[in-house]
Amino acid sequence: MTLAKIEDFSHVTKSLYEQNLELTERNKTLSILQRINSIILSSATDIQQIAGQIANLIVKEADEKIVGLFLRDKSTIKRVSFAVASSLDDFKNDMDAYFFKENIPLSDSGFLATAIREKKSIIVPNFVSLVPQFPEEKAHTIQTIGEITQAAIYPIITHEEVIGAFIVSRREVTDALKAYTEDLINRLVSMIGIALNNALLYQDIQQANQELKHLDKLKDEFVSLVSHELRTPLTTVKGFLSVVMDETKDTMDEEHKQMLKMAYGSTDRLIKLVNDMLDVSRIESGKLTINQTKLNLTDLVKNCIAELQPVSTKQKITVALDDKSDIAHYVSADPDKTKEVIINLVNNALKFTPQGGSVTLSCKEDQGMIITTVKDTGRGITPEDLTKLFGKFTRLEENANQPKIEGTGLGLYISKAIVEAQGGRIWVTSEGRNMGTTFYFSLQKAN
Amino acid sequence: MDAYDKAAQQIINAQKAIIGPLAIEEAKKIHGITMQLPDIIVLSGNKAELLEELVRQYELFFGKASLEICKEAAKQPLSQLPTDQVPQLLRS
Repeated sequence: MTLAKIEDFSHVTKSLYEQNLELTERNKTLSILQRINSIILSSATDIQQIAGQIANLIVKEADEKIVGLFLRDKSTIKRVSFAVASSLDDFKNDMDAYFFKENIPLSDSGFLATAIREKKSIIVPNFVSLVPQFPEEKAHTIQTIGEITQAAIYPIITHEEVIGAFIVSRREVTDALKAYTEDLINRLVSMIGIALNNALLYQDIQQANQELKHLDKLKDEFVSLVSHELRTPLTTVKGFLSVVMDETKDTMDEEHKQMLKMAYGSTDRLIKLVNDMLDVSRIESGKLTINQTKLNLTDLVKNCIAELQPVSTKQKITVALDDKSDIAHYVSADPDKTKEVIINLVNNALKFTPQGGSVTLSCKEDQGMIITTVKDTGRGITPEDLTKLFGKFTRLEENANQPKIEGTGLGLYISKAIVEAQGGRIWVTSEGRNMGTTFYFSLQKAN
Repeated sequence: MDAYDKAAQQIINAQKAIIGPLAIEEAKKIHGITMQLPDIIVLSGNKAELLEELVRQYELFFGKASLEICKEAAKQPLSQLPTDQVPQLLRS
């Protein structure tokens, strides 16, 4: 083999070695980053725990001697974790006591606060300078044992905001490894930022959740209290009005009779509103109680029609059950709640149907469900309004030429909740304005 | 195991991480360096000289980068020794 060929061979071998070295260091970097990624993706959400895991990982796998992680909380900086290499184990207690144990104000003139305030990395000439409060002799010993030549502070920035800082001791590294060490540290800072930011976000969400739960509880208690406090006197007023109306029906003049009638009607509406609000509160807090039993739905519908007869007669609207088959349909449902739904739907139909119109109810079986329909010949609903119907406090826009429709806007919302709580579905169709409306709701057929 | 044995062990392990079994093959070429068990290095003779020869072997074949790796690997084990007892090639 010629000298030239030996030299070529030597050159190739050296080049291969350098490439292998690069691969080895990159592998090491990727392995560490992957481990931090696992910490990010793990179910750990406690910041102290996450920061502790990261600090220990860096010390062990990246062969760093001292690592510290800090979080910024408005105008204060606090240490969340630190780790030291095993060669410095004897100084762990000293590190705990002196390595930024107390919170530091953001306005502090030291290196750590400056790095965070100015959002820039700082290289501190030695460990002694980094932590001036550390007992000097011990700081020098730590520096010697750990072969620490400098300390580096990297601000941790996420979404352009500094959330903390990462401190790592630096040692003399051979030229061959210098570039890889820098690369690793830079990547580490980004990953640490993600891990800590996630943990902070989770903390915020947890706190917000706690507050929401508390507010929700307060709201329920308030609604319950207010409803009770309102309902009791209103019921009393309604009762007394009824007595007065009854006892003075032959003696009172027409004008005052009308006033009493209006007062009675208003009280009645207020009581209904309070009851509806209580229902809504129960629905939203998941406390709607359903007592499902085998129920003769056909009979229930007939009873509701009979109950609303005085109103429908007064409004000159026919309400009837279309039941050619004369079959009794049985469902698994709560009798009181289901009655509430039927009364609600028929009342709505009566409100929106003019004199001379009709409201027709029917029940039929369809694929294991019993579907009840309430069909009216009233105003009808536009396609845009159909989508809004089952929301809270929904009242459709009224025509100036038509009489004002009273109501809380909660009836359909409550009906939907009741039907769905029983495993059913409620829906509506209408051909459009003045084309009538048909409401449907389904309930499980009883065996 | 003294400082020289530990240094040799660390150097060979560091080189093995980069070039694999080739690191051990090159080490075995040095008269006085043997493997007793898989991966346990034994130096017999003038250990400082053996260590220096080992490092020179790696440098010869793999260049300056491998010398730097050897220095890095041997730093900790040899830190306990006085400077004049540290092989010339491995001094900072």
